[in-house]
Amino acid sequence: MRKILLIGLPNVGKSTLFDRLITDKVSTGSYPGSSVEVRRGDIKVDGNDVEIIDMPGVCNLFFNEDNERVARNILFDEKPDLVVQVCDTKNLNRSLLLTALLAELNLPLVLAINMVDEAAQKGIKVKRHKLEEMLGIPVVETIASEGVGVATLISALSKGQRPSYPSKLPATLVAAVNDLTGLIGAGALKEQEKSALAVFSLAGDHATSLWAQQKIGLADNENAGHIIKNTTQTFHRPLGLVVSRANDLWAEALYAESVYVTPVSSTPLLNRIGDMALTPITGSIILIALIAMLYFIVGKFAAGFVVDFLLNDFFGALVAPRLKNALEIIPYAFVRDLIVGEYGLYTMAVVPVLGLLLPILTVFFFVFGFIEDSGYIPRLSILLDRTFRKIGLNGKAVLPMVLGFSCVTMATISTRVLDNKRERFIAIFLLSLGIPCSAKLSIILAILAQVSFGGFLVVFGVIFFLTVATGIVLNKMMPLEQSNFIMEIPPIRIPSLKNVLSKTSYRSLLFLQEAVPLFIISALGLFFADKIGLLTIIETLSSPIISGFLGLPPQFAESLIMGFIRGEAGVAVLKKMVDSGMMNHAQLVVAMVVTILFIPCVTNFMLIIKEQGSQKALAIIVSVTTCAIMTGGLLNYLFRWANIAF
Amino acid sequence: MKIVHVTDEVLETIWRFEERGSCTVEDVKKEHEEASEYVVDDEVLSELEKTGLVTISGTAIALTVDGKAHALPVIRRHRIAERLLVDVLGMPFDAIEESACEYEHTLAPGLTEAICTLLGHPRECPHGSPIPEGDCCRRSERSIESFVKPLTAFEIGDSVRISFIRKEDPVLIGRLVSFGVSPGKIIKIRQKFPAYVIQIENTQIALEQDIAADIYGVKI
Repeated sequence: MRKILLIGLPNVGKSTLFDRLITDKVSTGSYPGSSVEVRRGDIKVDGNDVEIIDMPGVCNLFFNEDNERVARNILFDEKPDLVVQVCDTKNLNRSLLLTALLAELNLPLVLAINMVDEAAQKGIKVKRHKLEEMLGIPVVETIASEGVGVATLISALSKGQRPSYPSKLPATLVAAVNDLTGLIGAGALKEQEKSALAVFSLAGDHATSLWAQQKIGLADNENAGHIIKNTTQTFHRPLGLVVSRANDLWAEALYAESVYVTPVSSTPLLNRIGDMALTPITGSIILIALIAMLYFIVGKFAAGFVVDFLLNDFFGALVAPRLKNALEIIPYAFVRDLIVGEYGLYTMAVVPVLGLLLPILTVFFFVFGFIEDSGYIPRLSILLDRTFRKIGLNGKAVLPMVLGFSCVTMATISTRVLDNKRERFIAIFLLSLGIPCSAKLSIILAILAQVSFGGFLVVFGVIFFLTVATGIVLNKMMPLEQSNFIMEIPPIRIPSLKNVLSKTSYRSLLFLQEAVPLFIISALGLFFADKIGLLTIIETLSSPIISGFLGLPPQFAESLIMGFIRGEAGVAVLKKMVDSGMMNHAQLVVAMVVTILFIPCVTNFMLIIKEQGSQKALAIIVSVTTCAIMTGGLLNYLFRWANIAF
Repeated sequence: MKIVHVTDEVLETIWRFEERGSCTVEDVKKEHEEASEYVVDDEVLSELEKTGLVTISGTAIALTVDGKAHALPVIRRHRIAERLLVDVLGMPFDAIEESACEYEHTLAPGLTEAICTLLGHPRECPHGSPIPEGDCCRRSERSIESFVKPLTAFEIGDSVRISFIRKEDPVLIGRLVSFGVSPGKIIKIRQKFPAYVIQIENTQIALEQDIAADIYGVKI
């Protein structure tokens, strides 16, 4: 045996089981030609190392959606020697529908019926032996989150069998499968693969059918085309549904024989919390409580307390002087600058990554891991879906948006919780446009306190309006391919600390791997830009816009550049300018709007490149900067024209 | 059995074959081989050709425009009757054929429309064949309260047996089926706002209103 595929419907606990099964490190990556994340690890079966593959949940192999396509590719191209199907025992009959499709492929199969504890709570008990006997394959009960049954599952891996599956397909369809199989020329395909692919040609959606026809070399075969067309016409409906219906009957019969349910009447507390999270009023209260918790734990504790300690007390006061001393032995100032100078590697790469991002992210991943494992997030997206849909996002986007107020960079990373590229793009765009991070926000609020309340309202009114308007425009510009919102709501669970910790460390390490090279490159870039005087040149060049169009003192450019390098450094410069009385109130309002709208900081910029690619990143940066300058300019002229002084 | 019934039966057969492609004289004869009360032979068929309801050329037989106009209400009555038997009377799919055949000859036009409205203007028979539209469907009448209604018309807490799903997109239907939402299944409505939440066995599923409005069922 060389390869095992772990497969199952969404939300059945595959990944948790995978983490429990593997003995060695994991490699993660997108499956070639897709954005589907596939994890590969090693597992010992009978003393031999075997590769085990984990992939996102699939519903029905007949669809040409990302996950299903990857599943088909793995099944037919990588040809795993064993398939382990993970089921949610609570919904075994739905999982059995997938079992029927896998049985069609005639690969050795082992069934892991997971979450038996939750099923038992609902009064559902599986007669394991009966199921084993009827399916003719090993069936193992597991509780992946606690590691129960994992050892039994590992020992069952070498006992995988081809399931006994008396096909319930209508005779006409079976005949069509046989006719198609008969047309397939001699080749490398095994008999079972031929008939499985014939089923896919008939029952798959358009793209899946084409894929299967190409695999069996019948894509241009006229007879094959006739068979498929005629069979479809006979049934008057997509053949995939005919197959599903037939499998459904099989699954129901199997379920009736092998599962007994004793009704449980009480509504456990967790269920009630789950229902409350879904209803508008109680749901909003829970959401506000969670946001407050996130803000205090991540924003105040991690981004405030921990980061302060690390940046000032540890890296600033403890490490930096010692490092500088140690570097004194190097006679070249250039080299010393390269390491500990204002734009050196230590200052611009080591400190921000280890002192700022890593602690914030670790805490965020930890808290978020808890929320994620509790089953709350699907409820959140349902609750807020309608509202966020208007600006091109869905309910899940509330998290990054809120986190943006503590650190836009962290929020940018957290857009990974969103489902697709389009939503991530819109969220990142809106984050860099309209959400000021806590560092900026606190100083901005302090400055605005000196201006009238009207000024305060104008600044935040303009920002809010622009952000929502941009969302609506982006939503219109990037149409949704399909907005069929169907989502399974998992039960509310108490997360296991061990799983959350392992997920947190895995994610944090992955972040380090990805971010460190980027930071080194950006630090080097800044270092050389500074050395050749590029920063001063930019300041000089931009002064016509700043002084002319925006009507602000030329020093404002310095604030923007510094702000780009470190958010709070920029507003610190601004505060100094305000304190020295260089600007009147109208100018202040303009400066605040431009500062908030302007791109957050270089760290965020690098992350946008990493998350969205340089092309899209450039588009975001150019539009955001243009928007900031244009809005500032318009406000400037408006205030002058209407003689508004606040 | 009256001659008019034979006409209905033959036209109906040709209609069904034409839905899938084309029809031959042989197909028609074979289909009625086992009928005990009447015989469909060349004589009957050429009689039909004379009345201008069908055209026969060689082995092929086809409905004329008049023939189609004649067959349409028959097909409609038959398939509406099937839905009535399955959705309202709860008969199993495979036991309805004979009764439906009786109804197709006896339902008065007004009654057909009333039943169609009662059933929520279904577009497919339980076997998945299309039901021709009637005037009531085009006006989408709601003069009597429908018995089969979209999920959006039920209340929170109602248990509903799904009758049919009025969506064309096979991927969407397939997704619903793999979530366990398919005709015959019983679901419970848990919530209607901000999204529809339905419970099917031990799974809760959220649907947007758009989809819920196209799932039809009967309260049980």
